[in-house]
Amino acid sequence: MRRLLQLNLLLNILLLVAVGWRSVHQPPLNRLPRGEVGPPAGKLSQRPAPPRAPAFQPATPWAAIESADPRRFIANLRALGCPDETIRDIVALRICRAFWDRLVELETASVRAWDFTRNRDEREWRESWRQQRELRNEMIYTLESLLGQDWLVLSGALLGLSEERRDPTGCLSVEKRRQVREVDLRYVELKRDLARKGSSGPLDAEGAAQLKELERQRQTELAAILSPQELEDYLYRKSPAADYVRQNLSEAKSESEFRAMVKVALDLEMAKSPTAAAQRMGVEPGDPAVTKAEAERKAAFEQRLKEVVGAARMAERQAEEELRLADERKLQAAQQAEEEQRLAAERALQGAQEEQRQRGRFTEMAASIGIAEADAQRFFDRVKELEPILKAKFAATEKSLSGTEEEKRKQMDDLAKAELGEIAVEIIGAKGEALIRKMAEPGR
Amino acid sequence: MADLNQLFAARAAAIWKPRVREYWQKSKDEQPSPEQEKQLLALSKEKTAVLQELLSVRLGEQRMRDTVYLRVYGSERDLLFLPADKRAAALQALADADPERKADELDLPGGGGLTAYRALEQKRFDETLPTLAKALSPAELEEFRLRGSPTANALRNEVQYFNCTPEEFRQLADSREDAGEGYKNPGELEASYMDRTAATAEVRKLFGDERAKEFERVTDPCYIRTRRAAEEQGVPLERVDQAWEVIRDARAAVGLVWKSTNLAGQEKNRQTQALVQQAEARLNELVGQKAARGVRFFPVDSYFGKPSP
Repeated sequence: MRRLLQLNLLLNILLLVAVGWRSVHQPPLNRLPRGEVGPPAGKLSQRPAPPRAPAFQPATPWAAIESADPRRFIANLRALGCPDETIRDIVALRICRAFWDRLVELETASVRAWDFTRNRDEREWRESWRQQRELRNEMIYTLESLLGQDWLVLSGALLGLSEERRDPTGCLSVEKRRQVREVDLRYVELKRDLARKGSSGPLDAEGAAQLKELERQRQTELAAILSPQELEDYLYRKSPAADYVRQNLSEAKSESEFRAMVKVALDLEMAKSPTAAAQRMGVEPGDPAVTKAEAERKAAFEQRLKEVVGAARMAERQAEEELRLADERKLQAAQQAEEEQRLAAERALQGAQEEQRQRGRFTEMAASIGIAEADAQRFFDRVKELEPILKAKFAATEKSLSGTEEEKRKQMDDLAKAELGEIAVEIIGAKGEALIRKMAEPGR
Repeated sequence: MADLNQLFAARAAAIWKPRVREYWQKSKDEQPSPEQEKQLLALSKEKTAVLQELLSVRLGEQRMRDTVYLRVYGSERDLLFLPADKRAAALQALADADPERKADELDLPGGGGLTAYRALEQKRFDETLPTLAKALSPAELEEFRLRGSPTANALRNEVQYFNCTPEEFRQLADSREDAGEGYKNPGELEASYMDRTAATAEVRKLFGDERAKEFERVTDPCYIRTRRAAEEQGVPLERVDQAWEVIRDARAAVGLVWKSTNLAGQEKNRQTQALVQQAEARLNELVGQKAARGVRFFPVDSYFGKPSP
C-alpha cells in the first residue's frame, strides 16, 4: 500500500513539475475551444479508451504518455492501466495549475501597472474581479467537460474535503451549467454596480425597482437556457427568494414545505431588503417609500404563507424561529462574556507588567544613590499598599487648595514629599530623604 | 497529493464531519469542538510529515487549495511586481523561514480585537522584511514595503486624493513607520484621522506650506466622503470643491457656537442644528441629494468637529 502510494505521489509530483516547466518554457496548455466540447463525457470508466496512435517512437516512457491535449493524455494514461480516480486527480490538478498560471499572468500585469501611491481604482478592481471569475468559470467548464463530474465533487476529491453542500446546478448538463454561470456572473456584477452606487446613501425607491428589474431580467435569460422544470429547480436552489426563505424563516420541515414557501416568495419577489451601508449601520433610515413597500410586501407574504402552510404551522414556525433567535442571543451573550473576561485578563497582565517595569526603574534609581534593592522594594510595596489611601487624600487636598495654578502645584508637591518622605524614612532610614529628593528631580 | 488528501480525508471525517446541508435547509456554521480541532491539527501535521518523508518536498496544503480555487493573495500577490526568478527566490525564502506562513496569511487568528489584529498584521510584515532582504535588492525590498506594508495601506486610504509622487509617498510612509503607526490602536488612529492637525504639521515639515494646505483639504474625511460619493454619482469635481467649502465654513461656524461662553447648552444645540440644516441644503444643491447623503454618514459632532461645550 505504502509502495503504491509512493509511486502514485511520485507520478503526481512529476506531472506538477512538468506542468510548471511547461508553463514557463512553452505556450500554455491547449484549452478546449468552447464550441468543440461535446456533451458531458460521463464517468471516465464508462468511456472506451481511444487507441494510442503515436506516429513516432517516443524517446522516453514519459514522452509516450505526455500530451498537451488533455483528452489524448487521459487516453494514454488509461491505456497504461492507470485507475480512473488517479487519472481524474492528475488531469484535474494539471488543468487547475495551468489556469492558476494564467491567473498569475493576469495579476502580474495588473500589479505592475498599479501606481502604489494610490488605491486601485474601483473600475480596475471590478475588471480584475470579472476576469478572475471568468477564468474560474472557464476552468470549471473545462474540468467538468473533460471529467464528467460537477465542480464541487471534483474540487472536494482533489482537496480531500467533506461534502458540505451540493452544486445548485448539479442536475443540469455541463453546457447549461456553463451558460447559467455566465448569466449569474453578469447579473452579480450588475447588482453590485447598483449597490455600489447606493453605497454613499440609502438605496431609494428607484434603485430598489432597478434591483427587482435586474432579477426579472436574470430569470428571463435563464428561462431561455433552461427548460421550465430546470428553471424551477434552479430557482428553488439559487434565487433571492430562496435565500430570503432560508435566511428569514425557520427551517422547513421538508423539501416540499420549503418549495411551497419559495414559490410564494418568488411570486411576491421577496428578497433581502435593498439597503445600503448607512442603513445597515443604523446611521440613517431608509427611503420611506422603500420601507413602506417592503413592509406591505412582507405582510402580504406572511398572509400567503398562512394560506399555503396553514395557520397552525405558521404559529409553530414562529415559535421555532423565536427559540432559534433566543439561542442565538444566548450564544452571543456567552461569547461577549468570554471576550470581556479575556480582555480583563489581558488588562490585568498589562497592569502587572507595567508595575514590574516601574519597580525596575525605581530600584535602579534607588541604587544610584546607594539604597539596597531590598529596601527599595519594601518602600515600593508599601507605597503600592497605601496607594488608594494616598490617592483619596491627595484628591481631597487638591479640591481644598486656593491660589494660582503654580501655587497649587507647589502645595501638592510639598504634600507628596511629606507623605512619601515619612514612609521612606520609616523604611529606609536616613537615605529616605535623599530618595525623595531624587524622586522629585525634574523629569522623574 | 490528491491521493494523500483522500486518505487523510477519511481520517479527518472520522474526527469531525459537518452535516451535509440540503438546499432546502438553513445553512449552519458548524465548527469542530476544541478537542476535535486539536486532533485535526495533529492529523494535518502528520500528513505534512508523510509527504516530506515520501517525497522529500514540502507541498503546502494551502498552496494546493489556492491552485484549485484559483487564488493569489498576500505576499505572493505583493511580490508579483518582481521578475519571475526574483519572485520565486523571495517566495522560497519566505517558505523556508516559515512553512506555515501561507495558511496564516489567509487567516490571521481572531480574538484580541482590532488592536491586536493590527499589531499582529504589522508584526508579521516587519518579520518578513529581513527574510526577503536575503533574496531581494534594497530597491526591490523598498518597493515591496511601499506596496504592501499595513502602514502604507492605511496611508493610501488617507492620501487617495493628494496625488503623491512616489518619493512623497515614501517619505510619508517612513515618517508614519518611525512613529510606530502600525502598532497604534484603532482609537488613536480614528482620532488622528478625524483631526488632521498633527498629520498636516508632518506634511508641512516634509513638503512645505503649499503641499500641507492641499493635504489638509483633500485628506479631510468629509472631503474624501463627499468626493467619493460625488464620483459614484458622476458629479463634476468643481462641485466637490464647492461642497468642501460649504462643509469647512459650516464646521467653523459650529465651532464658534460651541466655543461661545454666552450661549446655554440648549441654544448651542439649536444653532448647531440650524447651521447643519443650512449646510445640508446647500450640499444637496451642489452635488445632488444622493451624493450629499454620503457625507451625512458622519454624526454631526465628527462631521463638524467636536468642540468643547
